[in-house]
Amino acid sequence: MSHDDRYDGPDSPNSVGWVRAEDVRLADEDDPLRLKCGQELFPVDVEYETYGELNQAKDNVVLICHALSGDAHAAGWDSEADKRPWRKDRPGWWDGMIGPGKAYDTDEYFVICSNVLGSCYGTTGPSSVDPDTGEPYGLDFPVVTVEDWVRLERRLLDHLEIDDIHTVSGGSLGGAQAMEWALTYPEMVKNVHIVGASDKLSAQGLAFNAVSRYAIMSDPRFNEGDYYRGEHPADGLSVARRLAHITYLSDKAMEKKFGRMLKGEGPSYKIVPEFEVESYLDYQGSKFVSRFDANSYIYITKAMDYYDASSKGGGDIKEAFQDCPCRFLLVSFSTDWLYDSSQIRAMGKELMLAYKDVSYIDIPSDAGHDAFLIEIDKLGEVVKAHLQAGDIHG
Amino acid sequence: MDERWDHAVIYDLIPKGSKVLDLGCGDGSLLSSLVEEKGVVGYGVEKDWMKVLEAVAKGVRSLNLDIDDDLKDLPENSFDYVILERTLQEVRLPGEALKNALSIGKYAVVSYPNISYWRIAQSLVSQGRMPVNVAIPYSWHEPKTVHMISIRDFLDWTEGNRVEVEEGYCLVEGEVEEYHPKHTTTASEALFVLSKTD
Repeated sequence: MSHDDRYDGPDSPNSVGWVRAEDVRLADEDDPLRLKCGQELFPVDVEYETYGELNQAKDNVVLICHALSGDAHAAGWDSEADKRPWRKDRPGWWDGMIGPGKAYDTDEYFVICSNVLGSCYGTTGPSSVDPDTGEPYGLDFPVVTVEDWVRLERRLLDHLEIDDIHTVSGGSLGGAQAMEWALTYPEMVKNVHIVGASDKLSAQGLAFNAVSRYAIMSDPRFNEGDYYRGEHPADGLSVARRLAHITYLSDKAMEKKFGRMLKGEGPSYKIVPEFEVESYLDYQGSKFVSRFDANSYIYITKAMDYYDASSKGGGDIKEAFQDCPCRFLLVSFSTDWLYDSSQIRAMGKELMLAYKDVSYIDIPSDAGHDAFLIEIDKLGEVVKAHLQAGDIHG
Repeated sequence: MDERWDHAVIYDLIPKGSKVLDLGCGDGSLLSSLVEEKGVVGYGVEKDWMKVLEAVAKGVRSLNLDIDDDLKDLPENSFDYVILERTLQEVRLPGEALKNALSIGKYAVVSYPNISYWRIAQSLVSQGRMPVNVAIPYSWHEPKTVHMISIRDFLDWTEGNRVEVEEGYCLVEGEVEEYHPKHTTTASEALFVLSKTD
């Protein structure tokens, strides 16, 4: 299948076309960002993209939240892809969901997506220069949380003079950010779409993230996070990414895609990677190190670990979301085992018991956690149905 | 909305503003009218995700849950009414489903096809076949196994489980009648409102 078939090209009527990121300083010495960890941070710059037009009433804003390794480039084709060459042959990460006539219809909505604090795609993070030292922060960067991301994003909306969010939506870690929006600024948010995410990561999920960080930090080039002048801990980061990819696929999808196939004719009886699944993981690992910063991976997985929406209600989801008047749509995928259906289902039940406006759908898919990026047709239908019903009945 | 008799009966008996849980809500048409016209706070439970999608499109709050697996731990009296409209005969564990419904709700509203309806008996005896009709739309070999519920067996169950029968209705040759013991073989379908005995 060629790229042209898989994606809407920049000239397609269903594509938002060529896009360009914006950068804005949202915290400085006079107005630093106070973080959940207690530290104050400045300067803070944020990279974001927008698609569609803000209407006169300013009530058509859709805020899209990205996942662990995501960025502000949610849709369309990066007109400056020379700077980030991996974007050359593919559009933004949720391009199937965002565009004219798509679920988040840019003919109707003004879509905003910003890169999170601690990342490495234009928003301030551990690879940014610490004004105190003139060197990249590395591990001196403060620990950031999903709560901090939402507070920072609030500043972005203030900057854009936006007070109301029609819909906040995100998959995986982005789903956590979406629910945090509902918790922190319930009066601003009308619809919340939480896809492949629950109120907190499971113990198993915490364990995977911990091993990812061990992998990075035990790379000799890691140098306690101070590696920006020399070689990056690419081996550690690629191991972390390989591990993560196992958690993104389902057992069934892996079996179907690779089975026990070998790359060569038969076993070589040498200690070399030779199963197809190994070379897939190698490919994913090496592709990732060319586009992601190891320290950012550490910080963002940490934010993912810390997040627990239920903690705002003393462990009780009903209590936590008590004051949220929003319409909730929760979506799980049947073979997702990182954010398992049962966790998302449990959250849906709790929101029902709090008599919130909630619907929950488990989309059948073999694609595992990755389904939130793959099952676009089904997910798009669900999202469209929820938005249209909200606009009629809400 | 289809013209099902039990739809109309349930619609009439649910008070305005009640909290309602509809188990096996399908495309949400019953809830949709209850919510829109009677100000009910309603939630649907449905196993088939495509049906949930239809309900969501109608603006009905619907959750993709399994009645057999996902309703055990819900707190008592979370809802005023729990509806099992022509659902009970299709769940795996009907007894559990009824007990859960009666625990979660103050009242349970249950409708089902009556297996002791004389036409079913006649078909079995004279033709040697189970009729496949509107009330029981599946053949024996189809995956949706249907539990055979007769009015008398059902009422025995309520007695044995200390469940109060508040109201009863039957569909008798196309007419809705209040339940009377004489309907045990003349009713093609039955509907009962149940509550827990204190």
